[in-house]
Amino acid sequence: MSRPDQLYHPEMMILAADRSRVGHLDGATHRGEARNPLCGDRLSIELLLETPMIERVRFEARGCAIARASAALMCSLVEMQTDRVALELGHRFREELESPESAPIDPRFDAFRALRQIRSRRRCATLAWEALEQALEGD
Amino acid sequence: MMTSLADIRNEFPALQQHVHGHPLVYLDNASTTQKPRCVLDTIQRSYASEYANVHRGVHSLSQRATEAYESVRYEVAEFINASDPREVIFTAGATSAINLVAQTLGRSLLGPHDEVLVTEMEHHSNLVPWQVICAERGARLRVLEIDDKGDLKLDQLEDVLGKNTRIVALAHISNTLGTVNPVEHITKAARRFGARVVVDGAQAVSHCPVDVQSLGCDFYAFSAHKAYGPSGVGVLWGRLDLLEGLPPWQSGGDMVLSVDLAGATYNEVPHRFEAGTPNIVGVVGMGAALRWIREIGFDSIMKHEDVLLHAIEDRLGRIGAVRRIGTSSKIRSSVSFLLGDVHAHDVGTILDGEGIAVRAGHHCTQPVMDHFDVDATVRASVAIYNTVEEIDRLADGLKHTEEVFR
Repeated sequence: MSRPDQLYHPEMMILAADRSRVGHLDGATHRGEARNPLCGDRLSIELLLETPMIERVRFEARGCAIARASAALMCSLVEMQTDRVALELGHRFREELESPESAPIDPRFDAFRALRQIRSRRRCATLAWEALEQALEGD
Repeated sequence: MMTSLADIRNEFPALQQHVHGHPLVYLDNASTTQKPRCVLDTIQRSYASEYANVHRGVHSLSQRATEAYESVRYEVAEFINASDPREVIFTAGATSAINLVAQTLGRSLLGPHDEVLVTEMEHHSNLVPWQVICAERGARLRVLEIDDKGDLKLDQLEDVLGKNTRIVALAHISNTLGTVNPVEHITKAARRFGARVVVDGAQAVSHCPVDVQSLGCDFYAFSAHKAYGPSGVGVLWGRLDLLEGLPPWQSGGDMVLSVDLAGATYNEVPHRFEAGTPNIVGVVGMGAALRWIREIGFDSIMKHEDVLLHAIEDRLGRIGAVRRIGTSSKIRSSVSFLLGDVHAHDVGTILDGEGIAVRAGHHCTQPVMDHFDVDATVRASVAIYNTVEEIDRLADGLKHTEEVFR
């Protein structure tokens, strides 16, 4: 079993500290919010969709380092992608968390590999993707 | 204490394990306590040689099971100084007990213009049931606020308690802040308006003696699993004259005297409130836990837990980044805090890596989080088996957490 503190390796901490896509997005066309009822964490995203392309994304998180890191990564990955690709990335991210210890499905998700062994914190990492799904599929 | 701390710790198999290569430090006792061997043995013995359904069998095994089950009613009554064992209703836990009161007393008493008073520090289990019944009955839910230390604002009691108040519901001890509430003071005030008082004692029964008669309340709820007993079982104590006037809550077998196709007549108190096959072994296990607490004795428990609390306050006070949430002068068992801007979940995860179990989150008290404008806190909560050395390990773990997030 992985030690829980292996979650906080440098790549994760760099992502958690990345505030380049934190904040409000003027002219956003879509908004989504996800909450974790177990801990009260909230994560909201705003995005500008020029169908089918996601032009810009911003997020605001009241959550832990994992939730913030995941949101920062998600925003960087889905900008300038189509909505369909963005949602597919979310599915792949979840698969990555669920898959047994093996070669990563997508190296971009490598910062979160320790969550494969630490189920109790997985929801922290999927919160941003839930908010994205709500933004894109909620209307 | 009469029994040595080492002897007490030896009674708990769960405390003998290592987590992530470190001896377990279990400081999540407000969530649930570990179980002493006598409780585990009682549960095992009950299933192995004393198990049958209660109240309804003529065979010997059923009679033995019934005797074991019903004898706990007497033990609980003695434990909380109830005047009559019939006042003890076995439930699935404190939440179930409070829902029982809300759905029976609430339905009997509440109508439009009536009020239920709760406090800002309530666990969701002593808040949401009252929100639900107030909405159902068109009644108003009022709130006694807390101050920034986590004490009730007693000077505002007169503003929120009045002739329309039918029910007052409050925690004996806050599960998040650790504050011990002045229950006697509030019951006296409620009496002046004829309001019934429901006390959530989930955090109290394993930490201090509970005397329901001197508290002056009308109902008192607690769970066994926070008092060294099994999960899925608890108690609602209620004054007999009130219980006898209440309608049943859940219906089914065991809570009826007779049934025909046209209707049913209900059983006597307390069986009227215990529909269906109860948690037989859970109740028997709870009896073993309460006996164990009595053997240790509250003098020893309170003395030792005070030492642990002072150690927590002292060690946390030496870490500059710690911000305590709840600084009442009347705290028992639980201490909540933040560590700089590190999220409580991250603190909890790093501590887990050191083998230290604390709770991180809103502790089912989101209004308390709102009051202090935080999303979550770290909570360290003690039990009789914790040691000062474990508190030192908590402090070391917090220093390590600071280094990880520096």
